[in-house]
Amino acid sequence: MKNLFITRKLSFVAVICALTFLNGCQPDDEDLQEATFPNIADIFTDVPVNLTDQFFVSFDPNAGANTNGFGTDNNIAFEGNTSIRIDVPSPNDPNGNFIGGIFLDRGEGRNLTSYNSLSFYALSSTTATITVGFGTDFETDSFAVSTDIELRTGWNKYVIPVPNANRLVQERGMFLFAAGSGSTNGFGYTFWLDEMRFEDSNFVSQNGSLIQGGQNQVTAANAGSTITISDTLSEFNVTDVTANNSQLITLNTAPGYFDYTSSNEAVATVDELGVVSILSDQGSAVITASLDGITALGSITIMEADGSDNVDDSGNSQVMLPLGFESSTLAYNPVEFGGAPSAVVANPMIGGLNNSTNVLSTQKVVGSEPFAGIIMDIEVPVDFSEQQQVSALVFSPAAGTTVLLGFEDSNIPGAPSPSQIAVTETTTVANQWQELIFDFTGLTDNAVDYNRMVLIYNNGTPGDNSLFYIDDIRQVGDSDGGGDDPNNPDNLLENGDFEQGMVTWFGNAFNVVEDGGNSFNQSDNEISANSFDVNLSHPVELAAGTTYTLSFDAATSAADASRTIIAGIGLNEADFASSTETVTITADLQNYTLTLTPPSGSANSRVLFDLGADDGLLVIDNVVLTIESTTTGGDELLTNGDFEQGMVTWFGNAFNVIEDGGNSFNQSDNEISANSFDVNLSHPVELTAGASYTLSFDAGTSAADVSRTIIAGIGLNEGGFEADIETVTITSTLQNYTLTLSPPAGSANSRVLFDLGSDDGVLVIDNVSLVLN
Amino acid sequence: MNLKNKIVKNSLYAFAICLVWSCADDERTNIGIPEANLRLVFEDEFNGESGQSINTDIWNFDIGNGENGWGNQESQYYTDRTENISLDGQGNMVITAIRESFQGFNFTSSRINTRENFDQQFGRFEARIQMPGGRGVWPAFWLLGANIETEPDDDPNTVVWPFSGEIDITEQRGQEPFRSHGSMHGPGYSAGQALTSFLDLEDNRFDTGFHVYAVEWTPEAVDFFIDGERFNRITIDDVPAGGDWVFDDIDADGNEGTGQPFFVLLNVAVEGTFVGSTSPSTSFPQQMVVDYVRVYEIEE
Repeated sequence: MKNLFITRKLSFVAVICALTFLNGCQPDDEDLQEATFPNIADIFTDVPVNLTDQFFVSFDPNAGANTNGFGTDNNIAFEGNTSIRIDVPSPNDPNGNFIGGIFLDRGEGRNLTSYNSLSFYALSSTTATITVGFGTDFETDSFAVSTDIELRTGWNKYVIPVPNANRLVQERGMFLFAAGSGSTNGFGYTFWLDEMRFEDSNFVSQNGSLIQGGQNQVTAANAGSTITISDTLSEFNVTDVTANNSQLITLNTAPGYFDYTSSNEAVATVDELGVVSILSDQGSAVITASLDGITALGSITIMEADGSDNVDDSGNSQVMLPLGFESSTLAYNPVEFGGAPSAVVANPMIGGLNNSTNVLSTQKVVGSEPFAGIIMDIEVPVDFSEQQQVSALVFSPAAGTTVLLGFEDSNIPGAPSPSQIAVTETTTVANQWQELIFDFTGLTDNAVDYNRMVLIYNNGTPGDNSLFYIDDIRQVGDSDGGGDDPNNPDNLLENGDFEQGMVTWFGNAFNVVEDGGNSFNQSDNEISANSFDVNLSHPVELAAGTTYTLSFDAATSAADASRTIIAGIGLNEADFASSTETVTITADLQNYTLTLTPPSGSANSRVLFDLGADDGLLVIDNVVLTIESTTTGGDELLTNGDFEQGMVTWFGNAFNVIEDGGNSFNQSDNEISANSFDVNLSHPVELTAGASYTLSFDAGTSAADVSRTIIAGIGLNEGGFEADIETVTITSTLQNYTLTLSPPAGSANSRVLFDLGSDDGVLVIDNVSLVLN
Repeated sequence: MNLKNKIVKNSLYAFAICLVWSCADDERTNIGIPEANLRLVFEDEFNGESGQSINTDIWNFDIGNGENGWGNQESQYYTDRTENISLDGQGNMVITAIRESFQGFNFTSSRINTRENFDQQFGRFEARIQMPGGRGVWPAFWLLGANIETEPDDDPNTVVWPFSGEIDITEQRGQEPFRSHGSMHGPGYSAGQALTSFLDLEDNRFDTGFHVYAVEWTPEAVDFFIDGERFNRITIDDVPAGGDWVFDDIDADGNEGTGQPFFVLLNVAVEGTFVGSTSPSTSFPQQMVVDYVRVYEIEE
């Protein structure tokens, strides 16, 4: 850091009356808490107010900060005679290519709890975007705030809201700015700042906030580990009453401004700066936050994890996938390039997703090349002909770390080898094992020997000594070669989601529409002589006697209210034998799942939708055909009871699969509805009347909801919907529930059912199992 | 009170910047029609059990999204579910706007009216409300002419908006929670050309506490009040050329007018032409908490 001197005599400015101005009905003076530190609002008027002459502290010149461009200007001011003048350097300025730093209160700090915003006026020689903020003191930065503003060529007032003024009881970081020529096409420029002060404005109101980027993250519990709350933003409405507009201002907001709640303090606690400490890996906890009393979007759910299937390659005689780094005899030989030393080391955090002993570490050291990484020879070339996806467990010190995983033929020279295929994925959690899936579909060439692995963390960014770990590198995905659906590798249909456009499907109702990045089929037909006169088909190979699950999303228009279609699978050649069902489609886009067994099989078969029996609009999307596992008594009867196959098989309006850290589960949040079955989740299964079944599942609700009831059971999915059900009370601790049930009626069209509408709240459900006793 | 009166500010408040506001009590200081001349003819105090629905002998629900978002490109689907509208057990009715996917819409909320249950020409219409906030949230307490035509018909006794007239006692933009708009719509002065004014609170907001919103409607004028302070008066003289005053039995030309009773509405809309879009981070749910609705007749 370098201190800059403002060589100007300082005069203490009397506190203006606004500071002693009280809001309407305040408590009496004797009830007011004595402010421990001065609550001086002004930072710069014509002079820096109550700051020393070394109030500007530059960013590190070694990182490119130019310390020459900061000073005052006695010729330009918004009010009075003097403003702060900042000369922004050009990119090739030998003294540094950007300028920035903080205004530091070198005294004891200020109590800013009575202000809700920092305001100042700025003028620029050209339109330019700079970063401004406060709360950075170059020591703790606990209450740092920043946002980008656009400077213009006239004086304008800028307002930076204070996210939660209660925190600023002793703040020393009065202002922050950073300016380069990125927004000015590489030309240097000058801007001026004046009349900078904290205020309590009636025209600033919070709009909302988020943690973890607004995502509801789920992570495995590792006792003893910590997670730092990150991706914290807040939004404020700031009205300029003279211009009569209300701007939405988004602030990067330090986690320390938020208040945190853990649903289960036995599992996890959160400190005031947003560091989550995981105390136990038994049980679950949900971490939520609020900002100044308003609930923030986003959460972290810490759940017990099952790490039992880690790769053990200790018995291998050659380096090959899957790679677990557990062998004491194999020579895993990671070779660094550009400054990224790598080695097989002990697992830095055993537990959660990764219980294995050894992992591969890579340190991207300070001074490394932005592209620094490693290559490692794989003695048995990776065969992508069957499986095109590679799964790996990654442990990074930061969420947002990019991980480039590639494969190439070491005998085809080049840097990189022209044979190289690479996929980049991004971590979403810090200091946690996380599963990343690298999908090489469409990139692989079966003629190439992929005998070398390439691994680069944060490609394009210079190293900062961060240590990264990888483990359990293995091929995953379907082996039948039919599925190209990255969301469901078991899907036998290549273009079931229509994302590839007008290919593969056929029929006169084939009409792909793209909207907002999603493609789907949309048709509108009249009633025709034969139902099959209007049709949509997707080719697929079917085997006679095999049971398939056909799932699709469909809707009609509000004007049509509802319509029927015929959906099924069958031959695409004489005699067109098929297994179909008539399905009533409503105006609500929803998923339909059919279990079908075709009477004949052939390579020339198809999924078919015949529309001619009814008229109206039809939107259809996400058509998935999977082979249902054959089942026998005593075996698991549900094909997707653990939700690991994603949004398939199950149905109902509470069906919402979330995948996190390699585990998928269903998460819903419902209000109370008129009927308990108005909110439901079902899995198709065949039931036999009177037989005894055991239904087992894991479930939990959120801490906020404490507990809730659900109805769980098995029964018909048709007719009178006879069922054997029980009401189960679910608590905020994720636990297993087991019911013994005997359905009053049986049918191939039956189901496991969860009816949620009789109580409200979050419900996480996983590992649903049904077996015949 | 911490109110800035748009009509009588200026010199009185020239020293306001250094003024420490007095702690007067919260009793209404009505500068309009004396209380002695007001006779209570309608009230709902919203007493009842928490979670209970509202009194449907008084209130009707508007369900759905109307035509083109109730004519304003609003984004919510109105329901009669207790999630969206219910009593809070503390003597209030709460309309809750929720961000959720419902019937193809991204938000749910409620809108209620007293059509055919209660309406009145002239008088004082008053409600005590704590408003919601948040960018894109649009609460309102308002009146519509009872002869409004809601379905196209040939009935000469019903007319389409704005010929039926509308009095907005308050409508607010959640991103400007310090400001309440009072407006009147009629033929020749509707939508963007409405006769309108607003009041800004000083050092206070409508979404952080209860405020009393009222109009006093006489044959001569409609006066707009917040917390007993009159901030606007609209009269027949404000009607632009070619427009019609539909709030009295005498029209702008001195002929027999189309005066008629008006009914009461309360709602929380989300998004639309008046308020703009929400942001993905706008905090939801947002609640409009109504302590009471009262209507008085004016006695001479």
